Amino acid sequence: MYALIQNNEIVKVFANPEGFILDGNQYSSQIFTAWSRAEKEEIGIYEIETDSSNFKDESYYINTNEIFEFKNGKAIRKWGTATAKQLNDVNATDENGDPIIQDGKQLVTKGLKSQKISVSKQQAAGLLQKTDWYVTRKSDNGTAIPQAIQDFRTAVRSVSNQQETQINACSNVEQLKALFEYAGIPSTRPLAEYPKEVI
Amino acid sequence: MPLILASNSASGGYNVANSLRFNSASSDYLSRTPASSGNRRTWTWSGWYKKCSSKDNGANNEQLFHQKDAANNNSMPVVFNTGSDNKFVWYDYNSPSYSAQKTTTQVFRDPSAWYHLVFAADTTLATASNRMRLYVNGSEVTAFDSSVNPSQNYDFNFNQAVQQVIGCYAISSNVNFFNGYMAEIQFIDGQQLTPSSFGETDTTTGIWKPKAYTGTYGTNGFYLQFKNSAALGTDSSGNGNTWTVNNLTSVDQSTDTPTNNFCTLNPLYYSGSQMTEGNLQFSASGSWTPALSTINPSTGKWYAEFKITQTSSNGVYIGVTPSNIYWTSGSIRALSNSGTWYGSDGQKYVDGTGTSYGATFTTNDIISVALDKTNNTIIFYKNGSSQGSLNLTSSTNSGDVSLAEDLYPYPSSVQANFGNPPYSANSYTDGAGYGNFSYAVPSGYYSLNTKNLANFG
Repeated sequence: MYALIQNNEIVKVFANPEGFILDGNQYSSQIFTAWSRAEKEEIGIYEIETDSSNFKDESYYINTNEIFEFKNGKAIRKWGTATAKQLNDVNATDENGDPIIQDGKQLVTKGLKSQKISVSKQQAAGLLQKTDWYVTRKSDNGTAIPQAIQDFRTAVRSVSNQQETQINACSNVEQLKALFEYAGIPSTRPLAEYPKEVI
Repeated sequence: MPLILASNSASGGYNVANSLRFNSASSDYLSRTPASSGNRRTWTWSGWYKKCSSKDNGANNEQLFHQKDAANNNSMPVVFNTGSDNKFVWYDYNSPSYSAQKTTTQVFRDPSAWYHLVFAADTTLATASNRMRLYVNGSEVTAFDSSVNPSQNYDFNFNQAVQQVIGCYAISSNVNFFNGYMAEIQFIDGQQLTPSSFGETDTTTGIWKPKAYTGTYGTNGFYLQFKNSAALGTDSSGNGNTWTVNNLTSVDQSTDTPTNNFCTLNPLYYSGSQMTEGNLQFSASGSWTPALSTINPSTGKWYAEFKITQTSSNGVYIGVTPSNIYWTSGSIRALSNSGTWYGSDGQKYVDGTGTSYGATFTTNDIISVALDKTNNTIIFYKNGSSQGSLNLTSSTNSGDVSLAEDLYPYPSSVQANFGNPPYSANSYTDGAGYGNFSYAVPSGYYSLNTKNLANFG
């Protein structure tokens, strides 16, 4: 990412390489990588350095107020204070605090907990789906489900419930984030793991 | 699965430089409150949209634009109604009923195409059916599941001096965020126009393509080109009706446009609910799931990068696979006809068999793929270093192939860069000047987009 600097101010940010006209000269989109730093700076093109001190994990935070500034001969990109995403579901309300009904239904903004629980349930469903045929076969003709398969299916449901409990117990975004973070060798995380697939 | 590439692939003519990528997970939207009401009876909204979500992926209503009245009771949303069979819905609601409504019968499922939508209103007209007209890719939509024409001289709950939004539903806690790309958003205050003011049919290809609008905009009119990545809400109409940018950042500026349609991941290949960031980020879910590309070349030399945003104990695989591969469960790269893959364990997997190949890779590494479909070779790079050239086997050396990811389980994820990364890259372009890559594109290889397909495919 580059900035065009004129009179010590950023007049254009190049988030993507693009050709441009400057002082009547046409420059190619390839000068950003083909030219040396000194050559670029001579015409006012500075590489933007990123100050990510306020930047947080986008899965859990919204990074807002992106700012570009030119200071002490450097073009800097930085952010304002990140906002934690909503943890719990919220019924959408209007500016008067009244519920927003759209097409006869209350609008609901899903929070991170609901989103994570939804993923957990999807994982459980995916794991169970592969052995569903054992259940169908038993229902159709009475053939017993192998114990290992039965145990696996029970364990999947147990972990799903455990994950839901762990997620629901979080009282802030940082706690939720920590549940999913792996550490150590071999790497583990606080959130319960689904069992290895048996088929 | 064939996907329509509704874009101008021919060089020359009117070019749209930029689009803006909206991601519902980060609550992206634009907002603006006009200083005064404009013409609420006669106006035109024109925009190009590449949608990423689908009802089939469990997505809900997504707003293209919306405004409510000052009393906060009544509103006029224009929705891509993923909750109702992927139809477009344009209505004006005056509690407790609809004063006007158009719900298309036609469904819009293609996540690889740009759609040109024109919403043209003139309630002063005597003919009721002409008061609210909707056009898609230059053709007027005349088949509606539900159609309520507004009464003559009806004032829409739009173009008032209250907040308008693009990309969400305008309430205090904004919801129904849009997932996808928008380009050439224009509002004409005081005129009911047809699509021919904003687009034309390419005489060579027959494709509907954008053209420059040369008319006036009216008091509240605006033109969003998204050309200034540091001020994405800049109005180019001359009116200075600038929009406030909410949660969008400079990396959301894209060069995937109606005149150069770029490859993304394909949400129709099983895994759409796991895609975000304009179908460029793919996160694993409950079982092995592959993500394949929307553009599937059969010849030519192509380059893309994949940033590993999170790995897992089961690994991450990047590769090339037949675009029509039949897959139901398990890791796709383990299939005997799955093509050539590079795994985070450092192995290459060729038609299901793993052998030693290169370095291991992990979170934050960037894996580049240089695919030569003319000579049937592929080179994988880790952070710019070649891991060696491989010959494609019979599974991928003829026919269309997809660049692909294969991940499991959550939260492992990979961001694809086909030229428009959802992260800040290092400004390397291909030889044609397209794309924004972290590493130098090998000579003779190109990013996957319709302009390059026309010239090098």
